[in-house]
Amino acid sequence: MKRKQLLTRGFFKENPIFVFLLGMCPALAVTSTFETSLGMGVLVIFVLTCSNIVISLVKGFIPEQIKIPSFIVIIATFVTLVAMFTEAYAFELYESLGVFIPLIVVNCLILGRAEAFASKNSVADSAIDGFGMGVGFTIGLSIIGIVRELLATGQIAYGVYLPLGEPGFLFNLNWFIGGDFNIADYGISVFALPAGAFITLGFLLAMKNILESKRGEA
Amino acid sequence: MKNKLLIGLKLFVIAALSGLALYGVNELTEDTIIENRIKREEAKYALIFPDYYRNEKTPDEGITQIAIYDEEDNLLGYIYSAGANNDYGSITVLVGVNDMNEIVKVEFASLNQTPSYASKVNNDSFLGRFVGNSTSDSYLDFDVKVGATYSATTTRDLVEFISKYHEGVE
Repeated sequence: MKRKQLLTRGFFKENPIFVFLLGMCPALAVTSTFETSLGMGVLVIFVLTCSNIVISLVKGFIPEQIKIPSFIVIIATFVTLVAMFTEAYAFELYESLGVFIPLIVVNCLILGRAEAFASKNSVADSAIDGFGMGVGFTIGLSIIGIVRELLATGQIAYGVYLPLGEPGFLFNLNWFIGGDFNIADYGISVFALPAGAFITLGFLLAMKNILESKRGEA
Repeated sequence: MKNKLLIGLKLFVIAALSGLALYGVNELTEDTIIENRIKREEAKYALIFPDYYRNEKTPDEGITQIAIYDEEDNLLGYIYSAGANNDYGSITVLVGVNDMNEIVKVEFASLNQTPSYASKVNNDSFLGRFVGNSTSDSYLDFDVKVGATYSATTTRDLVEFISKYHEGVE
């Protein structure tokens, strides 16, 4: 497989969230806003890329009997490093993601790529696969986050959780309405709750299936 | 046997390298993390006593008394920090008490409970019930019907414990 394909297949064709339904716990729990989704996605990209590189490097050293425990130790190490860095340099994000940072350890996507790809391929290919799948995961989370935040508040904020400068809005429906009307007062608040995550994911998967079936018919 | 020892040794090497990496990053980030935690804690103090400037902590068994001072070094009151565990996790409560022995505000320093239950106690309509009461009052019959009995009862018991402690100190 060409390296470009290796990098991009996770974006849409083999998207971990919308195709394989992997990593559903963070996909449902931390996607109430675009920024928390993006933050979680970036952390997963880091952990997935680093763990794939290290696992690929030591694959000849690890005997079959201790493969899974070794992978989990390696993944847990990177997750703990990420937790420390986030608590030190992106404290708001750390507070916001809470227990979901340590839970990256048990994200099926990371262990899945370690077992299915990194333990059988070269370091460079594993790094590309980890990065590509991580980006695909981030795209999936971000799409869910954007839809939920927009429906719940009518706005897409930035700078609240991530160190992106002064807080502001990437998009705000109030820009088009004007006057004293505040769209945030009329948001559909269920979309900020876990039930809203299930509904959003369900609709997005249905839309993806409709698009795919139409493409199949054409 | 030799093979098993070799496998154990390899696992040990991986764990040791992981430990080493964690040690290195901990050394790098420890100071910033402590600074962040202090800032978060002080932000809570300022919520309880808006004129907060500095504090003096006196740890005791299961409770910490924090004397709160303003910019002119006047004692504004005390904040007590105490924690407890219940079936859903742990709760640490901060209770602000002024010089009239009245509860000024109750805040959670940490609230590791099921999120849906946590939101039912971490709001003004529940925590506000304690405000304005004297530390000599008993909170054991306090209304905890908020839809999160365990979290609310643990919070109430902590406020009771802190009130009694304050009365003892006074």
